[in-house]
Amino acid sequence: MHGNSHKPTVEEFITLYHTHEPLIKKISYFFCAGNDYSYRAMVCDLTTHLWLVMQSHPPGPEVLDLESWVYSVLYHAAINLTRQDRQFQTHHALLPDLPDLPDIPEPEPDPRVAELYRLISQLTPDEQVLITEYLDRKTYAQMAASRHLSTRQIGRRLKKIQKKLIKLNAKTSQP
Amino acid sequence: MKQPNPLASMQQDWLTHSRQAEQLPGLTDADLAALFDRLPAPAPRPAPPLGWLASGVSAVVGGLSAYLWLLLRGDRSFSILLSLFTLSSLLLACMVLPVHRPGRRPRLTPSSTLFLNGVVTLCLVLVATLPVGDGYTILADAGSRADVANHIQQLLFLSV
Repeated sequence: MHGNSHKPTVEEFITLYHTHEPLIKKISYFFCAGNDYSYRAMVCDLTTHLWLVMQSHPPGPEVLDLESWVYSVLYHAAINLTRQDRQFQTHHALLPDLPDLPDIPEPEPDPRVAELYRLISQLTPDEQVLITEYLDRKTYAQMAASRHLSTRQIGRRLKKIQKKLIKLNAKTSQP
Repeated sequence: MKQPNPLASMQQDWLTHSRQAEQLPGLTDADLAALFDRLPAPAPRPAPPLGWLASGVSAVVGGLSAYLWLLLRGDRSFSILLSLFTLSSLLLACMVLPVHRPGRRPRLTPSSTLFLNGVVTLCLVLVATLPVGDGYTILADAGSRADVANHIQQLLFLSV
């Protein structure tokens, strides 16, 4: 499927969903914390959005790293969903009965992680995607390939984000 | 004092968070099958931008009319006027087309396109009839300025 702009069938998509399920869960959890969006709705809407994007704009040969592409699609969708963008259609009402999925997951007990969420959410959407990919231990080459940039450019962008985070952190730690 | 690298310390926290989040339940195959069953059919392809169509049609009609008028009546000034209308239509068509994106509402509706078409034609007519010398205008011979003015009146009358 990857590399030739082929629209996935339902069966292929289900396989792809399971491959990228940890990513969907992680982004859903990250975005529903501190927002009025339930985890259950976020998982449904991100999955539906991924399916719809794969139908309308299937990843073609220009997509060198499918995981990074999925990452970017899901992350931007989550940002639009939590911003309640009117042009962004939601579909979670189609699956009202999902007893296994929590509405609101347990709040993050670790204050450092909660602070991390807060800091990341203050970055621009593109910066958020890049920094979370970095935190997920993606290599510079992987991050560069999905953006058609050089590893040097990725390094520069990360350096800029780092400076921004230091500033944000310093601002909050001031009494 | 040198600030500690926040990214290095954040990475471990993030990976802890990731592991916790990955333990949460997700959709099962049955849920996904139900979702696909209930998803509405994909929306039909968006209609072509009507403003662009209106500009294109008016350009063709204007161009043909200008040619026929010149051929049948030998009236140069009115043909110039129609040619200017064609030119404005083409200009608008070129302006509208690049801004149109599938799935988005076209920025120019047919009525606003035709209105703009009229405004652009009028501006072009004004430029064309500007005197540049002894009674000469940019596009017309001496004396034909009055003819152009007459034809504008005729055109306005026709459009009303």
